[in-house]
Amino acid sequence: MKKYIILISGLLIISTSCNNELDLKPFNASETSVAFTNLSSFQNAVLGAYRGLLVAANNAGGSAYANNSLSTPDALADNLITNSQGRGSQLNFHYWNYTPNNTWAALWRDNYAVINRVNAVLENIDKLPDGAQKNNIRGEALALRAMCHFDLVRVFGKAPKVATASDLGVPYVTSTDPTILPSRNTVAETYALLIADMEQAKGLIAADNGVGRLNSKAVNGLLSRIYLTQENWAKVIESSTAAITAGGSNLITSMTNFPNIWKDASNQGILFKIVNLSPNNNITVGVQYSQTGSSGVRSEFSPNFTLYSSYTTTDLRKSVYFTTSAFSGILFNHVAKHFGKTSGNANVVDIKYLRWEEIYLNRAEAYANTNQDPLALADLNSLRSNRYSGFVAGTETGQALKDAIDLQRRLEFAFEGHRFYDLKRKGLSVERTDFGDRSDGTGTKLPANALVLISTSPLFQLPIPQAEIAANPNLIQNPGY
Amino acid sequence: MKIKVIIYTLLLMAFTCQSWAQERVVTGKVTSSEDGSALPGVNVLVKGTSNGTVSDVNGLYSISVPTGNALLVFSFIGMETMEISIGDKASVNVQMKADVKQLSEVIVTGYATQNQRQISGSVAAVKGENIGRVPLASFDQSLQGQVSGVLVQSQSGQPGAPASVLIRGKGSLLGSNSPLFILDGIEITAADFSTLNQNDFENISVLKDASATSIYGSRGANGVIVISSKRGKKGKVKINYDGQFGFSKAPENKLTLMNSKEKLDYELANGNIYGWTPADIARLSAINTDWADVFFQTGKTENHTMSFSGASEKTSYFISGSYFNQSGTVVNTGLKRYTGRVNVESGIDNLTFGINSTFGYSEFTNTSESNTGIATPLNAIRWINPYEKPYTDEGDYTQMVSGQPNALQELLENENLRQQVKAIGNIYLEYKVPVVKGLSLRTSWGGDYTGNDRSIYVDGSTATGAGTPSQKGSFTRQYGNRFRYTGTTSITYSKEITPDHSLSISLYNELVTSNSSSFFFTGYGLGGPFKNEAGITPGNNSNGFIPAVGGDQTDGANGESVLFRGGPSVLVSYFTSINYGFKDKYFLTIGVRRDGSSRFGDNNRYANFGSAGFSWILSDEAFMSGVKDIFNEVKFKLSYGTSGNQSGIGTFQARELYGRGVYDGVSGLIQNQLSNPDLRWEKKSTLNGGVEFSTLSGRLNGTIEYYSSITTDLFLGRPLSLTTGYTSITSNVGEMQNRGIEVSLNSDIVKTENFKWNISGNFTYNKNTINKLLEGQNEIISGLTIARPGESLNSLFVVRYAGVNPANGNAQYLTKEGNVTEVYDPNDRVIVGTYETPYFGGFGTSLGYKGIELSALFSYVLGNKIFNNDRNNVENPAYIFDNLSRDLLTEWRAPGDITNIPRPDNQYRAQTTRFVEDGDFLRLRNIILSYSLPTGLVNRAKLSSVKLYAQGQNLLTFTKFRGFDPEINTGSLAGAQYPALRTVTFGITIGL
Repeated sequence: MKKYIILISGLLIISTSCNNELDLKPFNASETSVAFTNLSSFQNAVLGAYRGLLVAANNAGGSAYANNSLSTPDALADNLITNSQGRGSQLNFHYWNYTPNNTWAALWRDNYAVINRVNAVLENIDKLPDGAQKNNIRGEALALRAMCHFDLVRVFGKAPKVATASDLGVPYVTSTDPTILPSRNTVAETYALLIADMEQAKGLIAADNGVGRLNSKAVNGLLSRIYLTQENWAKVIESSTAAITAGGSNLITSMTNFPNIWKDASNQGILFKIVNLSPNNNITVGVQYSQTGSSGVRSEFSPNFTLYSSYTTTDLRKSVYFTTSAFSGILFNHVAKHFGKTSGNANVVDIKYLRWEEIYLNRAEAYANTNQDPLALADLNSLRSNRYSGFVAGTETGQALKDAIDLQRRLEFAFEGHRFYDLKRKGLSVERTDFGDRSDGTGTKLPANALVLISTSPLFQLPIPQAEIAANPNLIQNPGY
Repeated sequence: MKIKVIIYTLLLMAFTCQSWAQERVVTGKVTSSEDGSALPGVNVLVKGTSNGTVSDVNGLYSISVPTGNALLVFSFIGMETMEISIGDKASVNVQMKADVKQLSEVIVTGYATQNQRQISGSVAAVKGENIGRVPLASFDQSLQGQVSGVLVQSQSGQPGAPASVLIRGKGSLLGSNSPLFILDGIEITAADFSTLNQNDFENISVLKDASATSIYGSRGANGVIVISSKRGKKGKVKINYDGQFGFSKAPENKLTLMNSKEKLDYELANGNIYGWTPADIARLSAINTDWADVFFQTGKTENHTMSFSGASEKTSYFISGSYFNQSGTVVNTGLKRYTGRVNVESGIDNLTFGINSTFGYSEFTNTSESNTGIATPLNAIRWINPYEKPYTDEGDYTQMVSGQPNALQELLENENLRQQVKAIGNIYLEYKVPVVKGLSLRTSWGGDYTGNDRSIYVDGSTATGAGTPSQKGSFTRQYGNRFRYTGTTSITYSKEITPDHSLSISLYNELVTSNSSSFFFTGYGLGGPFKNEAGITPGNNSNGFIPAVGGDQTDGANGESVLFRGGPSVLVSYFTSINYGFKDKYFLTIGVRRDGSSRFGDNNRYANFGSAGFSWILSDEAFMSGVKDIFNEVKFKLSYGTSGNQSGIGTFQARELYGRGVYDGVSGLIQNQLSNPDLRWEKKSTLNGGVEFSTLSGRLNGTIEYYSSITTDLFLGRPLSLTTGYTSITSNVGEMQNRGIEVSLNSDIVKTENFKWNISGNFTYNKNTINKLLEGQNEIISGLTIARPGESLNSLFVVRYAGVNPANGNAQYLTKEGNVTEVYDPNDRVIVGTYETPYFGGFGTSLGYKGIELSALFSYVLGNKIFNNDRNNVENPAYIFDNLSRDLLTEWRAPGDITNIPRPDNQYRAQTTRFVEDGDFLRLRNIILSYSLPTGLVNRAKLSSVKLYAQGQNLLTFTKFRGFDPEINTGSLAGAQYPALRTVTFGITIGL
């Protein structure tokens, strides 16, 4: 009998001595105390920030960059027309009837998620010993912070050209405190802060981190984009020249390589891209434009017929950027830029965020606006000579040169999310030509009220998401909503 | 036992000596009226004397009686005591019936068993026999309509699909609302029952109020379902075979679609989108494919269970094995299951030890459902045009003109198989301390292991396969396993202090630890004849067939970390229950539990729960003795207590966490959760009161209960400014209430030897109200529903549809104020009802004549609303490329048309009351006709019992809901419904 009592008491002891078991550690996650310890953990954290450019914070699939940065600014502008065979996606942007409940909320959310991640890096950075690697990590973090704020302010704030001193930009966030309720900085303040970060990054970041990460050339390139938005021509020239000088030769994609860069088979001409692997990531960025199935290409958006017609037959881009095929028995032009890589899932491609061609055109525009037409023409021709077969160097000057630069900008970067920002920074209206969605310009046309967005419209500034206004009472909504 | 035998022998000897000459001997056999089995150990007494005996192992007895007429009294625990006049017969066989007196029933209340008399909480029992033979693989499905307060909704008719089980309404917004399931003392995973054989279940107890559930502390808030498996009973070795075979059909479709002629006419009237020529029209009109016929089939069900059970003096055993095979009503779906069980208990001296164990293996073949995917076969039933054929004349899969994938190809060419292994068991030891009478120690340790192995083959030729590299298809294998062990050790002391005072105190310690992990890979480039690993092409950068591999933190293809729902968690608890009885009329039950959980923040790692209950046998009071004939038994009960909820949030929800994020093929780190060291349990306080009664000589008995529970500290995301990088942080805020009334009645209208008629029914009313959300927060709108203080959870929040303006064919709506308008404005949304079901229950009857028995069970639901998105999918004129609802034939065409369908070019709005339907239904859930062969006949065949039966499941459903099946627990039918099966089976039960 005694043995039974011993047996039972033994079990009692086993079962009551398990309190320390409450302190469990997840095997697939760690906490801050271990997340920022050594160089590799910081490198991991920086990768995590880039990752935020690709996949939304809540794992909803893509993020603002991955899913919409290539399409929404074109849907807002005059490059596209909604396709009658599509699912009618992004019509709120296309028809300019967005509201605080129906706005580009993902852009707001996902940029601040990346900002939060780089702020965590910056807050802990002094745990690293000084040196080049610390500088590089710091430079990348600062550059990403500036880049994300820039992408926010050009959507939610007025263009610097038209903004008054009191017009609001976006909150410039530099803390990871989860209780913050920041107010909006003015447009001028936002630009000043992000330029300060970017300029600081320029001196810290390495000359090469791979095409999927920022480096000193990309930072100069981004600076040229930012200064261009401010129409700070001298600084555009300075930063783009710095980038080009550091970049070396053959920066513009050659005619041979040009078709390949859209299949991610070549990186020539690409200064920074958000890498989207298939099958690792499989963010189907191209689905914003079309889906291809057994019954053909089903487009969400077709190219505007005027734009399509602006690509001449000698323009290599015409065959690379478009296909024409029937869906449901109707012939349409389709945007082919985001169909997919040579292998892997359909519609999965890298997001070509910054291309050398842009740096050249930025500089060309700055030269043209500072009476340096020959230099501008040289930059323009170096692009055109790589796009047109049998190209004879152009000789434009004055306004014709400026127009040619603008045209090449539109043709080169169509469907890459540039057009709306280009119109907005210049204070121009969106004027869509009245063609249908079919390959010959016939077919379903846009509603009459979706043809013109005049330059003074408050709709150029998208509304801040209502959920954000509700959660943060310090924020003031844009006028007109 | 040895002493008992000696005593009986002595007594027998004494009686025999005494009654030597003037008495005669009567012999006979005592059997159970239920199944005719022999009853050993029955006390047989000559009335008015101390002359008695007990029946032996074969139920045989022999007793000396005085000459002349005498009365024999047969008594046995759990059986009705019988008095039989023997006259001058020499042989008297007796069939004893189970005691149906309500208050003498012994009920499993979780950690203990209690007499119904003492129970102060709300505990309902379901007998295993009521669910054992139901041809549904997941036993929770068969609880529908059986118990008041328990809403069971089958979410899917897919073989093996679990039901949604809800006890007394929803108490949680973000967390889980599923009850805790306990099998033989071991926590088992909810909604994962299809690898268990319900034929092994002896009984099921449903614990509903705090007095019953607070003993489960932080896991008890959603109620507890306690299952006890069968064990061997003393007597002859019982060998039972139960087999059935049957057929299933999909239910009637209440959403009619256009036929070819109608659809073509409709297309012509609306722009001839496909540009048909008259010749096309003539050709296509002749084709009229009923796509439901293409996808639905007659399913087959086959079920065999064999069991062996018995008990010797010290050892009892129950051993069973089963095979279940069900093919679904949709082609290429089904479940095959094999289970085995061994329960053994034995002992020596004061020590008892035993094992309960079950092992099962299942194979599920599934198809996707409840979505709006175009490649989903169940959507194709609605969407594919009737003038399309599944195959071309050449026998290839048709490529649809609409561009929709050929869903039959998706169904037949792709494969989705899940193999599940489940092992649940526990070993236990119990020791009665001999020195201190009433003191016992018990410890039980057991686990629930589930292993899932899913293989998904995607054929490159299908629409799903179109997205795979080079359209060469993919093969995925996912492994997942979960193990949870429960160890409970207790010390119990129970004593009758004086005849008036009885006391029982138990102290418990419990440890529940669970862990889970998973792994998957997807390989590409499937070729050759192999639809498995053998067909995968090794990947490289040029062919693009690079496999995707992931584990726990990766969910799906994106490779991003997800919330940590898996992984380890631990619950350590100390608890006590005290039962005190006074004069066998007044009972007090007190339970206290302290739980520590690894899930919660450092500041709130432990919590206390407790309850007090009181029950009073009113009918035993002297002042009631006058009406004892009317109120045979009346019991009043009242309880109040607390319990908690901790499921539905991540295992490490309180912690700041960094997870993996892959960028450019390299693993990085991402902070994906903020810490909340204050995170704690949802806390539910419940008040319960009720009356149990028995009247008309026990012919009618019932229970009426009222309850009110308030859940506080709800899990809810407290919104953060998005500029923090986060949308919200999981916190404890808000308050929700559930109040209700439950009535259950049971009546034996006729109860004679040969003819029996019983009617029973139950009714539940539950009112859910949200009391508070975040401070200053008036509402949370998510999709079609709103959470607003003062209103029910999941209130439907849509614009009211007001038909069509006959003048112009525009859709009309009601503004918030109730004025008719043609302008749709989301600001005009109002609450038009709720997904949550306020009234539900079941009723049934059974008729028995000699060996024939007919029983039927109905279940019903009243007062809830359903958003029929499945109908929206076929009433949207923009989807003219696919088939549409027949209702669209009545759409507005010319001024003056009176119709409910607007003109096709009117701006279409789905989120209106146009698609809100009543969820009311009445369903003949189960009907069974059985015939037990006469004992004589059976015995001649050397068998102990034979029963033949025919059974019908879901044969009739009365509803206005326009779809296949009104049972939609989410409130909104997205599409692709796999309706509950209508099944008829024929079976036989043989006792060898």
